[in-house]
Amino acid sequence: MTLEQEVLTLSQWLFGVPASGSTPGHFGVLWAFALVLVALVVVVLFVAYLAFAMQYGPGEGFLRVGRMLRIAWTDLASISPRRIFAMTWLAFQEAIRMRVLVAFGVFVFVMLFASWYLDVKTDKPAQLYMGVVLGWTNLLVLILALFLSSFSLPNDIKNRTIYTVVTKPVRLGEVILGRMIGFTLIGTLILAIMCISSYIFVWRGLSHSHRLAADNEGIPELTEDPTIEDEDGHHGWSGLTSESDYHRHTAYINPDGTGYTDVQKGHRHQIFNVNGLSKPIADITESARTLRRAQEATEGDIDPAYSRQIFRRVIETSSRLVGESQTAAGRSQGEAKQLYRDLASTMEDVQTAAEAKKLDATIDKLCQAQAIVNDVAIARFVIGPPIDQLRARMPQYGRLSFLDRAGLPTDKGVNVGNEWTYRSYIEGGTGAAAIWTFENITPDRFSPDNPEFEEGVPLDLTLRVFRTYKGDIEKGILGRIQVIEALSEEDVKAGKQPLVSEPQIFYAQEFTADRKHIPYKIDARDKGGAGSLQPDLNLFEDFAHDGRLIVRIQCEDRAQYFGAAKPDVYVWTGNNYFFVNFAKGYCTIWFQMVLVICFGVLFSTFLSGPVAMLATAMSYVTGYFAQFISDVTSGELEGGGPLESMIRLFYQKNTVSDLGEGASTTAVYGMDSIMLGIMTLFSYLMPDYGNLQTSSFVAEGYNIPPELMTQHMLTTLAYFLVVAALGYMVFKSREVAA
Amino acid sequence: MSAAAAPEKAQPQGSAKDVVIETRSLSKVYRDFWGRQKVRALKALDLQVHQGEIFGLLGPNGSGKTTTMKLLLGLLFPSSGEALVFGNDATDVGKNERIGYLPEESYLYKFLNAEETLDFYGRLFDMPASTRRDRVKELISMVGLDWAKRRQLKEYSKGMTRRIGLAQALINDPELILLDEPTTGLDPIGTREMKDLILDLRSKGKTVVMCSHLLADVQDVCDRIAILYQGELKELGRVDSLLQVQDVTQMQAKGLSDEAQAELREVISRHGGELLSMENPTTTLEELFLNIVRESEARPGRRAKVKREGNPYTK
Repeated sequence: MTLEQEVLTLSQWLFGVPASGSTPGHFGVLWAFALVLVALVVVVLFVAYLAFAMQYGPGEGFLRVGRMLRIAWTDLASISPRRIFAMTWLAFQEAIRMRVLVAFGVFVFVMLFASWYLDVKTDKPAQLYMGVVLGWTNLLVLILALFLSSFSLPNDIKNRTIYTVVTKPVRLGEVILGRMIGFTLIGTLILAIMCISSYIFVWRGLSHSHRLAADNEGIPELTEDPTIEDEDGHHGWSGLTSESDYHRHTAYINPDGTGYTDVQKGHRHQIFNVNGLSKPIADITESARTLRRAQEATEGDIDPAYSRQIFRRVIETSSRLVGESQTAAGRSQGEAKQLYRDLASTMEDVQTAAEAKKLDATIDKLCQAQAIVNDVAIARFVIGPPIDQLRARMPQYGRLSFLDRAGLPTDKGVNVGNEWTYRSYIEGGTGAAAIWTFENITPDRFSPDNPEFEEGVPLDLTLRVFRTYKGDIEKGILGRIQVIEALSEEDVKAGKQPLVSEPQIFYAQEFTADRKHIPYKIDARDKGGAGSLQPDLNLFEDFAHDGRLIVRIQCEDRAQYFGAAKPDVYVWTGNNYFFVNFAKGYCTIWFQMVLVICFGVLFSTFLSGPVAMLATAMSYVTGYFAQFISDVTSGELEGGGPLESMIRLFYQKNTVSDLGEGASTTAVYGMDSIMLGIMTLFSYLMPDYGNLQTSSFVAEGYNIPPELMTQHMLTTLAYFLVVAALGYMVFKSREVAA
Repeated sequence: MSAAAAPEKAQPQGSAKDVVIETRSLSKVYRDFWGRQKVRALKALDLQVHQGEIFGLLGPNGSGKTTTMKLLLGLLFPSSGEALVFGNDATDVGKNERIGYLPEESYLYKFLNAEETLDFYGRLFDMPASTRRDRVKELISMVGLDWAKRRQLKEYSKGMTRRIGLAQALINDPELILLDEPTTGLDPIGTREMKDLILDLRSKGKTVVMCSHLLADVQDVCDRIAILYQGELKELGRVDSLLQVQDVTQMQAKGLSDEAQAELREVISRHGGELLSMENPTTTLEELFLNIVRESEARPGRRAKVKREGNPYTK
């Protein structure tokens, strides 16, 4: 998945990371918070002093500011949970009476009819469903928060109900906090209901099943598939499933009757064998095979006793099967009896033919019997619900470095002309490579005893492909994966060449996470891959020293390119519960809602309802497009500020054409720089709502990293406290009755 | 502190300890968004209200009564001067512990019922649940709303809303009660009950400040009144002394000797008068009020002289 902003660890996020090489640094949010806090305090004190000094004179101004601080301190010290609770309760009641549940009604309405309009033939139905529910929830909850928070206080002031409240010993801070908490509670309630109902919507919408071998639908029956073979040499079956939700799968069934379908539309199904009935099928097949072998060995002269023994076994299992099929497959008694009769008469034919030593006829009849049994038994294969569709993969990302075409280290790969510089490209058939280094890949985390990691360390690839010529468009571009021994610094200094595994060749599949495995036993060559072959080396002992796994990926096809970004290759460490991840996605919406409520209440302390709502909406937009605004300001995005872009629109000038020189242009630039300055300042002060979006994680099936959740939570908490304090200050400075 | 109020500050704070409300050159100017002066609602008001008295603020519409009330409650900030309640600035939240306020039109949350309303306001006083329950029950039966305590306030009549408004003003058993037009919207019986209640509050040692333009009500219950007109204090004093007609003498005597009577008659007849009886008659408050209004319109700028005095209502 696309992760443009790296998820930092909590300490990196709080305390900052210095810039190194091509990666930009990160300014610790703790310091940023402290700076903004100090700046805010200074501004508030200065404005307060100015206001007091204008009314009472410069000397008295100081005293008044002092008094203001003293009052603020006493107010803070005398905050009472009971009063906050009273205000919270009031806000909650008010919200209920304002019929906020209508929002929920709208949501249910959307849910009810959404499935009519969703693109049923999409390749990624899970993403689509999740996008719809998360998007709608986000929108509705934010609108709700906007209305609730920005109209409540102004209405209280307009209706003068505030008079009876503020003439009680309630602190204005408590009025603000109570409102924020009350609306948050009602929002939480609605969000929780939305979360559960949309989960059910997604689950039900995506849930479907297929059937196997239904002749009347024109689907080929299951055929014996010699590529599926168990240890005893029994063959499995394969075949198409019935169509459901605009797709069908190919089912692969093992001789024991269990199996999986292939992956279609981002999911597959598990195949269960009800009552273990497929073994008899294998028995009959085996009987036919045994007979044929015996026929070949004896050149047609089989011991009748031997063949009778086989037939008895076949008849026993067949009759048991037919009996059971009556209950398990829900057949009527008549149907079952008919089947039994058919089978019995076929078996008699088998017996007669065998006794007449007509072996070809015997085998023929035996195959007929098998077909009847198949008809009984195959209906017992049950295809389970879709799996891997709603999941929360937990990736472990590594460090990415590049080699240029000569095989020498470089900062970046090639730019193939994309303006979006997220991915760097490596050229096929050259020394160019993308190298991922994963830490902490140890035997206690990945062991063959764990069924999930049986085949090796799972590696998911979502490489992008850039073709300079079309080639065979049906075929993917070839690539190779190699594991390189992780050398210590001393070894490197000593000039030691690492072990390099024999390449694992793969076709790059774009847009899906292609699961590969790094096996635990690896054949490799020493001397950097140029030396002699050393078979069956141990992944952990010989390659991943200190848990450091180095994976090199190269493109094999000459003049084709692989695009790589850090999250494009990761080690899969397991899945989290999908519902937990889904709930986490909703938590992020909750954080946004809390922030919108905070700002709504803040603005409503000094603006009228509609204006407060507009201001809150603007603050959201500014916060959401913070990156865009900063890019426009820094000139990274062409087109200029609001005025300039308006002029360009009006005169139909593109973003790079010269506006010409003159006083008016200078004036426009000047005004724009002022406006952009103000916008940038605000965009820095507002929460980065753009970053507070995690729906893509949920939709694309990735676990939302806990670090990210913690960061969002801390951000929300910090804003909550600061905005509540600001709201208190502003509210305190205004005349409630004016 | 404005220049006008500066000399006041030199004086000792309220000559008596039991001054509950004091305003010093309290002025309020309403301004528009651009800071331009719209109206001077109150001009340098000096007042003292003492513990245990019923103080009436009188005046025609727009005279500054409600502004004064709001300044005392901290709902407005003074443009200059000071408003002190219990010796503290009126904007101090702490004072609210000891006051009750019945606004002009009971501004209550219409979506709550009577019990919820009183319980909510009780919480704002940080009252524990048990106290709240008792107090709510007591007040609801006091204002006679037992039968409607579960109904939302939006279903209440004006009189019922006044009653529940009064109940919320008394939830904390306040020492000082500010009543804005307490009798409007009440029927004659309700008005009588309200007046009795106000007198009852005084008998319990509470201080009541009420503003009204219903003169009969004020005359009935108030000990002292201040008459405001166009933001200025026109008259201030005890109701009984204000209602005396100072330029008319009315005499009625008993037990005078004939000589004395002859002497008095002679004096009166020498001055061309005729003795009916001898006393200072009283006028109605309505008369006084209208006189003040008429006089203020004829001679703007005349103001009442305020003497700082001890509380005549406490011993």
